Amino acid sequence: MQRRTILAASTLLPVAAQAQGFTPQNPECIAGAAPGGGFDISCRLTARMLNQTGIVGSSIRTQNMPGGIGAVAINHINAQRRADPNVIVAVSTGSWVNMATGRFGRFGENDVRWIGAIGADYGVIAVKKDSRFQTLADLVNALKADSAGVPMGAGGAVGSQDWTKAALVARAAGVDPRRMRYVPFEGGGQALAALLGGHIQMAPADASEARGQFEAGEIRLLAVLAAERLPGALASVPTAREQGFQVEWPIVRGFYGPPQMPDTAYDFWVDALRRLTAHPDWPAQRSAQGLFEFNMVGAEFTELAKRRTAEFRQLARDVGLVSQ
Amino acid sequence: MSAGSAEGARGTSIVSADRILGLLLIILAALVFWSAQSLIVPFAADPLGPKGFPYAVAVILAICGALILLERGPAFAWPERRAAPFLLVLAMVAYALLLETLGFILATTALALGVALLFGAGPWPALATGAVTGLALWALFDKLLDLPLPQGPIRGFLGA
Amino acid sequence: MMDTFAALGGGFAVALVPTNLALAFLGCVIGTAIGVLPGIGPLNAIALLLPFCLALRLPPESALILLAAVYYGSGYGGRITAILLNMPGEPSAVLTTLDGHPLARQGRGGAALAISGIGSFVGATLSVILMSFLSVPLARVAVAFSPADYVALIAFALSLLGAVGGASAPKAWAAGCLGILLALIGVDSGTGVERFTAGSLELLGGVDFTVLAVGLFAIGEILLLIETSLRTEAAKLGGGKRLSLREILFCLPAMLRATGIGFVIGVLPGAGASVASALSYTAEKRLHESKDTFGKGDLRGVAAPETADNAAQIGNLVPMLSLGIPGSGTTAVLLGALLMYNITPGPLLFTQRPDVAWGLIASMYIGNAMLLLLNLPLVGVFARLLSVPAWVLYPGVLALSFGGVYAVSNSAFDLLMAIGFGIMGWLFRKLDIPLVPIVLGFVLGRMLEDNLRRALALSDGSVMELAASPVSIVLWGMTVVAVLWPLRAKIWKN
Repeated sequence: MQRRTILAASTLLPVAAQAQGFTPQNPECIAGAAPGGGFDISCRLTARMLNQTGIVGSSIRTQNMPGGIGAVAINHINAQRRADPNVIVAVSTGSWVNMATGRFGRFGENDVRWIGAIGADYGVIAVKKDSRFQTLADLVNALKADSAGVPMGAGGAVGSQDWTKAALVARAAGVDPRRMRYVPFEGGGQALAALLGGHIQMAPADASEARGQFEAGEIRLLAVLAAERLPGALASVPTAREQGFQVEWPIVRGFYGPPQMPDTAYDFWVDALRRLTAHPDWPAQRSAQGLFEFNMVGAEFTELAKRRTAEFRQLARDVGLVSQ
Repeated sequence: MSAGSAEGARGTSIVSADRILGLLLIILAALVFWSAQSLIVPFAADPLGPKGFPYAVAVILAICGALILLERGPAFAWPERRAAPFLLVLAMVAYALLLETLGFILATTALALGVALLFGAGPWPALATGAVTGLALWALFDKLLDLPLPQGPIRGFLGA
Repeated sequence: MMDTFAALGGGFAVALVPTNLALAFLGCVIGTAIGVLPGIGPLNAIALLLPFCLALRLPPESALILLAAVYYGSGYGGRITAILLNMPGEPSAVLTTLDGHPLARQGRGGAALAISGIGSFVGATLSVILMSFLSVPLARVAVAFSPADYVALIAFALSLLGAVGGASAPKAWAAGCLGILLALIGVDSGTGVERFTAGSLELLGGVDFTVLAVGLFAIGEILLLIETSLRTEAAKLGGGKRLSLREILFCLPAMLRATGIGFVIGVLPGAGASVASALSYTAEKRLHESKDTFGKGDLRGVAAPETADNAAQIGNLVPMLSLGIPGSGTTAVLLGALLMYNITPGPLLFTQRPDVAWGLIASMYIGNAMLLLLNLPLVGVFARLLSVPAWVLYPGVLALSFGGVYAVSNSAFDLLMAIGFGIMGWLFRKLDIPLVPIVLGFVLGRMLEDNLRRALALSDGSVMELAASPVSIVLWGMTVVAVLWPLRAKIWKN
C-alpha cells in the first residue's frame, strides 16, 4: 500500500524520486547474453538513452552474463546482490517462458522486482507468397484436418517462446500442440530461409525479422499476434483476434531489479523508464531495437509478468513440458 | 620417469597409457549411454528424440576405445618438471576463484607474476611482467572495449 | 550486366568518400585485432561498436562499411596466433595450426603469415566479385538447400576427420566423438530436454566455443611448454627463407579451389566458415596425399583454410544482403544495425537503398586491398612476437585468454571449465590424440544432429528421404569414398 502511494506521487512529480534522495552510484545493466545478443542490445541502447537524456546522470555500464536466457543472471542477482540499488537486469518474454518451465533454477517471477517494459515485438504467422493458406482460418482448418500435416519451424526449441507462438495458435484451433510438426532452427533467419526454400510451410516469426520479406512480397503474413493492428508497413496484416482466434503474443522487453531493492531505488528506476518512454527521442530509438510501443511500468508490469508466467506454466503443464 | 625411459617402455608395457585411455573412453561411452537413456522426453516432438544421436556417438566412441585398447602403445610420458604444471594449474584455479574478490588488476598481476616465475624469470622482471599485464589488459577490456571487470579492493582508487 | 557495373560504380562513389575510406581502414584494423584476441569475436565487437556509430551519428552506409570491415577483417587476425603460437583465435583458424605452426617451428612463421594473408585476400576479393554479379540467383539456390542436404554435407565434412587426425585413426575418431559429445551439453534444441548438464545452470546454454578453444589450445599448450621448460616445442624467429613468388604461384591453385569451396559453403545460410576451412584443408591434403607433406609445414595447408575462411565470410553476406536472411549470428547483428537506421533489411535493399548495398560491396573491394597492404608489411612485426621472452609472452597470453573469456561472460565457472579443457588438451597432446577433430566435432556435431532432426521431422521419420535429392546423393557418395579411402591400402594388400 505504501509503495502504491509513492508510485502515485512519482507519477505526478517526475523529479520526486530524486528528491527523495536516491541517486544511482556506478549503475549497471546486466545483460543475460554475450555482446550482440538481444539482452545486450536492450541494455546498451537503453543505458545510452537514459544517460543522453539526463534521466540518469551517472553513466550506466553494461555487464554481460550469458546463460539460459537470463537464468545465470537471476541466480547471480539472488545470490550476491539481493539488495543492490544500482543494478537493473534486462528481461524478455523468453525469460518468462523459461521461468515457467523451471529453467531458472529455484528462482521465479516472485524473486525479483519488476521495473518496467521498454517496448515489444509481436509474433506473426508467416507463410510463403504462393502458400495454400490465405487466411489464419485456412491454416487452422488444415491443422484441424491433419494436425501433423503442416510442417512449421522457428528459431527456438520445443518449449521456447518461438514454439509457444505456434502452440497457442494450435490450441486456439483446438489442436493438441504436441501433435504439431514443429522443426527448430538455429535462429529466426534460418527458419525464414527454410520457409522461402519451401522446406517448411509456416513460420511463427517475429514482426521485426519478417518485415523485410513481407514488404518485398516474398512472404504472406496470415496474422499478427497483437491486440491491435501494428502501425506502419504491417498495418495491412489483420490480427488473430479479428479473425476470431484469441491469440496474442507480444515479445516484451524490459528490466527487473533485485528482490530486496530498496523502495527509493525501485521508484527511481520505475520513474526513469516512465520518463524515458515518454521522451520525444524515444520512439526512434525504440524502433531501432525492432520494438513497437509497449509502455508499462511498476505495478502494472509486475502484474503482467506474474500473469504471463502463470499462463506459460499452465501451458507447459498441459503439454507435459514440466511435471505436475 | 623421463621421456627417454618412456621410449624404452614402448611395446613392452601391458598397462600402457593408450590402454588406460581406451578403457577410459569405453567407460565414458557407457556413462553417456546411461545418462542418455535416463532422459525423459515430454512428448515425441520429432522422430529422433534427444537420445538417438548421443547413443550413436557413444557407440562409435566405445568402438574407438576398444580399437585403442587393442593396440600396445608407449607408457605415459610423465612431466619432466613435475611440479611446474601442477603449480600452474593451482595458480589458474586460484585465479578463477579469487578474481571477483581481488579484482581483475590484482588477480591478473598475481597470475602473470606467478607464471613468469614458472617460466624462469627473476623476481623483479616477473613483477614487472605481472603489473604491466594486469594494467594493460584492464585498460583494454574495461576502458577500451567497455566490458566492466571486477575492481576489488582498489575500487575507489580507479575512480568511477 | 551493364546495370551491375553502373550500380557498382555508384557504390564506389560512396565507398571512396574520405570518411568512408577512413572508416573502412579503422574497421580493418579493429577486425584484425579482434581476430587475434581470444574470447572476443566479430559478433561481440560489432555489438560493442554499434552504440559508437549511433553516438557519432554516422550515416547508415558509413556505419555498415565500418562494421562489415570489422567482420571480414577478423578473418585476417585469427591466423596470427594460430601460426606463431599454435593457438587459434577463432574457430575457422583451427585448421591453420596444422601446417602453420610447423612452419613457424621451422623458422618460416613469416612466410606462413604472408601466404595466409595473400590467401585471405584472394579468397575475399574473388568472392566479392562473385557476389557483385551473382548475388540474387545464388541466394535463391542457397535457400533450396534442404535440411536433408545439410545432413549429407555435414556428414561428408565429418567423414574427413580421419584426414586431420595424425597417425592413429581410432584416436582421431575418438577425439571427434568427444567434440560432438561436448556440443550436446545443454538444452536440446529439438525436445527442450536438458542433456549432460548435471543440473548446472551455467551449462544450460551449452559449452562456449571460446572456452573450449582457449582451454585446449592456449592453456594446454602453455602446460606442455612449462613442463619441458620450452626445450622442445617453441617456434623460432627467422632462420627460414622468405616467401618467394614461386611459392605463391605454387599455392595459387589451392587458393582458387579453396575460394570455390569457401564461397559456396558460405552462401548456404546453415553452414559456416569452419565447415569451409575444414573441407578445403582436407581436400588439398587428399589431393596431394602421395607426397605426405601436409601436417608438417606445407604452405598450401595454410593457404587453403585461410582462403576458404575469408571466402566463406563474404559468401555469408550473400543471403543477408540479397534476401535479408542472416546465415550466422554475426550477420544477424549486421542486419540489426540496418534496422537501427530504420532501413528494412531484405530483398528490397538493393532497390530502396542502393547507396547502402552497393556502397558496402564496393567498400569490401577496397577494404580487402587495405587488409593485404596492412598485413604484409606487418608480417615481420607479428613474427617478432616470437622474440619476446617466454616469461613475458606466455603469462601475457594466458592472462589475455582468461580476460577475454571473463569479460564477455563474467563467469568464474567458464574460467574453471577452460582450465579443465586445458588439462585435457595437455594430456591429449602427450597421448598423441589430435585436438583439431575435437573442435570440428564440436562445431559440426550439433549442426549434424539439428539438421538430422529437421530432416526426419519433415520426412516423418523416413530415412530414405535423407538421400532423395541429387545434391545429397552426390554428397553421400563422396562420404562413403572418404570413409573407405584410407582402407584401400589394406584391401590391396590382401
